[in-house]
Amino acid sequence: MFSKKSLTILYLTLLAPFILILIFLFRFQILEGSKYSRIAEYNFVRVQTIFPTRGEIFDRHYRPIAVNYPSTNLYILPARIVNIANVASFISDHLPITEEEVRELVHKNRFKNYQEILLFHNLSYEKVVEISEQLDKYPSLYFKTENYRQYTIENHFTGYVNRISREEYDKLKETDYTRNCLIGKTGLEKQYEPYLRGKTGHRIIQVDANGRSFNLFTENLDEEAVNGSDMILSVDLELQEYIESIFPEGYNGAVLAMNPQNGEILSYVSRPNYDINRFATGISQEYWTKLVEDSNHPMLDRVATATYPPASLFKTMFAIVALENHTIDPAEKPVYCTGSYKFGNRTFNCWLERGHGRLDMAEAIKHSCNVYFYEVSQMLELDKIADFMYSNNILARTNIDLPSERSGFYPTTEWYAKQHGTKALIPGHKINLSIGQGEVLMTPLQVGVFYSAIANGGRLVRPHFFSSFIDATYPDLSFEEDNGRLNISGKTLDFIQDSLYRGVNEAGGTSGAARLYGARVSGKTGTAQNPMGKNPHTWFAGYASWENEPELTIIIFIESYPGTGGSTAAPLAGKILKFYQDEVRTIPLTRR
Amino acid sequence: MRELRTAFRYFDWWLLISTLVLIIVGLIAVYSSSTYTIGDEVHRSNECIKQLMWAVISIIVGFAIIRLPVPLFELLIVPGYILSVLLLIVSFAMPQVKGASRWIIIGPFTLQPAEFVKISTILLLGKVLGKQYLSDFQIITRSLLITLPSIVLLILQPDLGSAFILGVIMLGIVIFSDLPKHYIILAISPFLTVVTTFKIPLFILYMIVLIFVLYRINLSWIVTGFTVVINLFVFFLVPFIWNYLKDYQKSRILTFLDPTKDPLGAGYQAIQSRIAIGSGQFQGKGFLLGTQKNLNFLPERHTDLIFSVIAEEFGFIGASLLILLFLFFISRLVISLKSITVREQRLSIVGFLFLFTSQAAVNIAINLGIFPTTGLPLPFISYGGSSMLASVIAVSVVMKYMTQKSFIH
Repeated sequence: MFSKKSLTILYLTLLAPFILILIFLFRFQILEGSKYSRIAEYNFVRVQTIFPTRGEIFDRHYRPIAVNYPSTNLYILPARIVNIANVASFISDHLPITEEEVRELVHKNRFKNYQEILLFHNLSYEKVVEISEQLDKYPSLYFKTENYRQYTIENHFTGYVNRISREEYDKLKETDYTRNCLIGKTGLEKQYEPYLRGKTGHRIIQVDANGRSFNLFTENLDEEAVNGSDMILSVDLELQEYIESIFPEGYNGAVLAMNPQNGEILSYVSRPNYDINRFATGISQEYWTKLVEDSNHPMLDRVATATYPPASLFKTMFAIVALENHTIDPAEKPVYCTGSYKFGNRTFNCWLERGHGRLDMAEAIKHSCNVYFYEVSQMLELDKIADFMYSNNILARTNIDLPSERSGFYPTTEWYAKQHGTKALIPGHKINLSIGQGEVLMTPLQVGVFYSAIANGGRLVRPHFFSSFIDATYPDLSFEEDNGRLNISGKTLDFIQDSLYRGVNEAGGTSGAARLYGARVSGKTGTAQNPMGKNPHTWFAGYASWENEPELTIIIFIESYPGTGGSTAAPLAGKILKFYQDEVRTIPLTRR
Repeated sequence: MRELRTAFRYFDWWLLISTLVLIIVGLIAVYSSSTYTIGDEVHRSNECIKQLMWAVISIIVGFAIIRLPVPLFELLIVPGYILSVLLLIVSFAMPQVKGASRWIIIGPFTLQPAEFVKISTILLLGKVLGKQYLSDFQIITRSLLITLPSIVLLILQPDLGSAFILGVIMLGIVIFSDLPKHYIILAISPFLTVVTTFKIPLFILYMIVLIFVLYRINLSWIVTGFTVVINLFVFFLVPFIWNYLKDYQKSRILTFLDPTKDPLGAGYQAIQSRIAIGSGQFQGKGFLLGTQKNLNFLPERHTDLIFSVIAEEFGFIGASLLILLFLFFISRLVISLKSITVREQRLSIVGFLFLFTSQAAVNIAINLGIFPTTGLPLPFISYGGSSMLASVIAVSVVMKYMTQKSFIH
């Protein structure tokens, strides 16, 4: 097979591509070499990215929440450094940054030496003038005026914007994200990133220092940047600020105010706060460590990403399950509350030491009597409650328009069997669970959606911040699709609504402090034992109607606070409702 | 002792020397591309040391292969093939890097199975097609059976460059087995069809020419009809494959057809590497002094675009010397075909020839901006352990066939 001829053919076949390559090499390096070296010399094919202006975020009355501020920044381009020592000493002479730090910055970016490094942010006018005078000696230094993001309030829902991380860039680099660009990191900034950001444009610079064009690109390839759309939230900034101002100083917790009819969020408070603006400008290591090591976890969003035992708020769910399963006639008075309840050799207490005496279900809800629910818990199967909680999506994520959210938890027989290896302990656990303590966990947001459903006749709304985009080219997103309905009878619903109303408005109700003249307020308080500290967690969950239309659901949660739900959370709810009635409802919403 | 002396007599010292020189040139280029200056300060990273380590490991492995008795070595071909294809499959389970699953990541090492699949496929093709008295049909089915699975896996990864190289290798080996020459037309015509699908009149013209040529070489109407049907099939298949391609692959092909279309993405890279090469001019900018490289205009400069760094810093002299070095290396392999008489081994060497030639030529063509951008290393030169090891193994196998041929007869 391998004749001399075929070997020659083989050799020539293999030779051909190399000859072709040599011809091209000769053309590019010898014939056109001077052209290419001129191009290289003047770095002529350069692409300049034009960043779009990020959309701003406003509250329902067009009051700013997230805005762009222009800032003059000093940059250094390592590739143009002539003498690093000179540059470093010049910078350290004029700015509070040491020579070592400058060298360190440049060294850290040594493999990306055509990528500019931000040296200093938001320089004062005086400094800019001072440095500008000598700038021509240092070709590697230059100013750029850029927008940076500022937030008018400390909060846990806007999130913040920062430089893209390596992981994010790897995921997005096939799109128009560049290595140095800004991206929404958390919260609404992340959720609505594509709308807020817009689209980058670019300009191709293909002219050398003498203005000669090389015409490598014949068509016009420049692309305009498209600015991001401004966005209106359903949040009412005044209400938000009012709640922040009356929330007990120095305590942790969450307050959620939402519209029970459509899920619009009016206020979203999580305490303690932290300075979110520090993230926008590049957070210092010091402040970051402080935030991370703070035992109060200020960065934690306590409304949607933290779960707590719902305490007596859970009695509402419990009563519903008992009614739906006909476990007990609500008019029946099965137990005489003496202030404590004996189970085996253990004693479970009611919150009222002297006891409530004999009461029916509505009174038990109104007075938040533990003993009544202890008794009912022994008549109900554990999984009946778990089934109600899970099949009605009460513990599921609520699909709020935030990037992170937690789901709740309720134990099942199976779970206990796995945990303890036996089902024998379940009756004891059921007693604890009936008053919302023990393993049951919910986010304040889930509590809010549930109580909104009680208010609106059973619809589990989808809570959301989004109201509209100002730019007409963006679609208006719809949040009308609910998370389903509570599968309960109208009779049960009426009974629960009535009981919650009585808890606020009848003498002796635990939620009396939330009462408001001019509105129809219903609600439930809760006080959860806190295994971590001596003070309990206190809760209030309720809603208020005006002209027979439920308009506002309020959930209040205060961590480790001296007092009970009735004495701490309910009065807070009363104040918020009063403010809402006087200051928020009176201003009509101008929809555009 | 006598054994060793015989081995030395048949040993091709020029092949060894050219291989070593290629490796050294590679080390110099990797050193240059991982070193650059910012102002008055020089910055280095340790890619060159790693590459040196890989070269040493590869040479030790190569020496072991040369010393391995031929019968034992031939026993390893089938398991080696299976293992390398399995590695290719395993790479799909790995986290994607830049949108492709081409690598197996074990701690600090990244393995690129595609490089080893090429070698093991060549050895198996040689072994299978080297058998005497195979019918045309057997040659075609067996070669397809061996190569197609890997090609499909490589396209799915996606690593179109390696899939292309594997296709070229199979074609080369099949042509040099005993297949009648008109099958070459049959084999190549679908590729031309793919190219012509972009312009339908061109495709019609091409089909007319094809039928005419097939008619002129007096093929039976059945074969002619079969060829035409296959080509029509490919013609209608191309749009579907096109839709399957990832966006960046589409853009690379489109960019190749019109480089000014997307100067920011693939076209940008092609133009920047061509500027680097062109600006090297006759004598280059000097070692470590490439401006395109220093200013970070060249992405992937220590791997796929390393030729641009060499051409920028050593100019036309350096670049053409490197190409002549490759040519010398290739011709040593062609010469080895004269002294080796075992059919299986000869076919494998033909495979290696097509491997080295196509891979080097395609890589340099990408650097010159005259071929669509795909990730392919330049053998012996580009930074990367898998490529280095696979290339040295290939050369060692040839050296082994040359030194040990005396024992077979």
